[in-house]
Amino acid sequence: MTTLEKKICMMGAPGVGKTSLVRRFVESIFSDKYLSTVGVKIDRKVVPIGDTSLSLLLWDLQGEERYQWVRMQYLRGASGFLLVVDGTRPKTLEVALGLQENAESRVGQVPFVLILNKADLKAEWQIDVAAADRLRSAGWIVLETSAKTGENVNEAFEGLGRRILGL
Amino acid sequence: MADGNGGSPLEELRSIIVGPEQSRLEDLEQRLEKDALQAEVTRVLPGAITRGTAQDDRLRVALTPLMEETIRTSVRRDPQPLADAIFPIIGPAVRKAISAAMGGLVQTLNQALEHTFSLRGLRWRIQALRTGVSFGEIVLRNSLVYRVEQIFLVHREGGLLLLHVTAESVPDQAPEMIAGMLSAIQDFARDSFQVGTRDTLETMQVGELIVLVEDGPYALLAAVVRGTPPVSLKTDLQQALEAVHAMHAEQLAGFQGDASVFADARPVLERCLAQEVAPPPRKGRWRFWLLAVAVAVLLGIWLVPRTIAGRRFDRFVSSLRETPGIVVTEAGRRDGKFQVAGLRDPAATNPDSFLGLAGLPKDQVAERWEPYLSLDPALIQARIRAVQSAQATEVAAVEQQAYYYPVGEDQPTTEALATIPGLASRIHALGRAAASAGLTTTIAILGQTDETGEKDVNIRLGRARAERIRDLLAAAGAGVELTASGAEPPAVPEVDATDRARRRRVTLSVKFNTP
Repeated sequence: MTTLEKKICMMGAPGVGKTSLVRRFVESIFSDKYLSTVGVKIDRKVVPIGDTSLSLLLWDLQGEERYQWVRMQYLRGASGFLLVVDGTRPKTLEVALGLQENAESRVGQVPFVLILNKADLKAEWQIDVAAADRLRSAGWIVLETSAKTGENVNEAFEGLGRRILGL
Repeated sequence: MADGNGGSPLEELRSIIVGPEQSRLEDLEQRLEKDALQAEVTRVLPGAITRGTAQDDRLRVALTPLMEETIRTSVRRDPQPLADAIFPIIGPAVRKAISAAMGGLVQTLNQALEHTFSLRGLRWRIQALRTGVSFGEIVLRNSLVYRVEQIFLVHREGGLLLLHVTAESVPDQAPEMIAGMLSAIQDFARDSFQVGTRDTLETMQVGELIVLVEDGPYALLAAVVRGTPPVSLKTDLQQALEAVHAMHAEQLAGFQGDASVFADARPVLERCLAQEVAPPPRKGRWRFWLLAVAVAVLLGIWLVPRTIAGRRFDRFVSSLRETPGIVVTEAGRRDGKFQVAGLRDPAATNPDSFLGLAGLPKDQVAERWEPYLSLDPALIQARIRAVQSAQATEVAAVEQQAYYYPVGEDQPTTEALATIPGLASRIHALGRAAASAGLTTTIAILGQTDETGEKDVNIRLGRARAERIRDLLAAAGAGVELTASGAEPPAVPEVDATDRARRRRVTLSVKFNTP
């Protein structure tokens, strides 16, 4: 089995649930306070995909927008990224779209997945679902997840992994 | 008709008519073909070189001597073009080398200052003075103790771990994430302080751990060191990083996440897992001091009373030596007990009386005294007094013995003669008692008469009477010196006939003398 290491980044507005998603997905050795100090926290998850053991190094970038833009340096060398949106806050989708553009300018066209988080609160969603559908039509992978229930969390990471491997 | 060249007449004619033009035409054709060939070669050469390099090393092997000689020739002819070409590389390299050297110098100076003014430095100075070893050597022994515990080879672009080696017994804890955070911290430092992208956070210190980071074009090397690393470690890390870049330049440049290709660089990194082992710390030194103190206390407990007792014994012996009638011939300690021996006059002060004055218990001193008689006048008088005192009754008995005579007679009466043996025996006993005290005994026998008659006659008669008694006592075994003498009658007038008769007598007196 081939072992590959890949760096992926978690991006999104503050409070969208990036860290909760990562916590759902991996066991961490670093404290969450790294996010507010260094601006990033790194975790690791090995995902078997086909004949490949894919070691995902998850760079959970701090969601505070003022730093988010400054610390796009952390995207350097990333093989993909997850854009996380809070379905209950329409503004977070705009932030995600802006981050996607910024990331693409920084690291080029690398695979990414748009995550509409907080699916457990779907009754309260206020984002433009039609806009999300348009993104799907444009070829984006858009997944509805819930860090609270675990819905689609693994699928989101594994889906990104497959895209990175070109599968 | 055929000519000597074998050509036809038509060809000969053509040669004559258009020969020069044909020759020029052929020359032009050759030149055109050569240019075309060159153009073609120029077109295919880059691809051919790329293909040849990708296939095997033959092209590189073939070109290397040519390239080397070309560069050598070029530099010999004019070094300036090459110097200009490598200037952008050599400048930063020199600056980096100088920076590293200055960093090492500053570190050394800092250590020297710290060692000079710190308590630890003071302790090391004392150690240097005590052991005679130079201060510098002491500092080296104590400060250059380090251990490189982990080496991370991290891809510079994304912070992915390429290779990780650890020293023995160091836990291998999530090196991929640590490598990522190391990379993130580098980015964080660069972003925070707005420095260049090639600048590196070279040192981090956490407690006893120091993280040294060496930055290369495609990868960085991070060494986790416990203790104080030597300056040379930085050079070792640089060389290791350069070696990895030389071994895997292409894989580093085109890294796609497969770190297994760097496995053969493990020995290079493992060579950096150096350690400097200090001389074994003197564990148990406190035990030594504890033992030393215990021994000192025990020694004190044993030695102090012994010393005090020794001094008391010395005082005791000194007192004995100053005492008349005591001669100390031996003094010392044997079998844990004080011993004193010598000669002692029976009349001398009792040695035991000095024990109390010196503060020595009697059971700590074994005394052995041989009797002797001292010639000290005081002791002689003491002995005389002692004998006189002891023999007072006998002396009185002898001295109260008197022998009376009829007028003109010098022969003792029958009754008197009967007392002689008893008196002689008593005198003999006195003589022996005095002799035991080193004295001689003299019995002075005095013969007297009454007032009648001539004085000289009376004295002769008195002496005759004394001599007779003397001879009788000697014959009876008195065994002492006996003196006999005659004396005039007493000056006191006689009262009556009885008084007169009492004056015709022989009396004895006892004297003790030194031999």
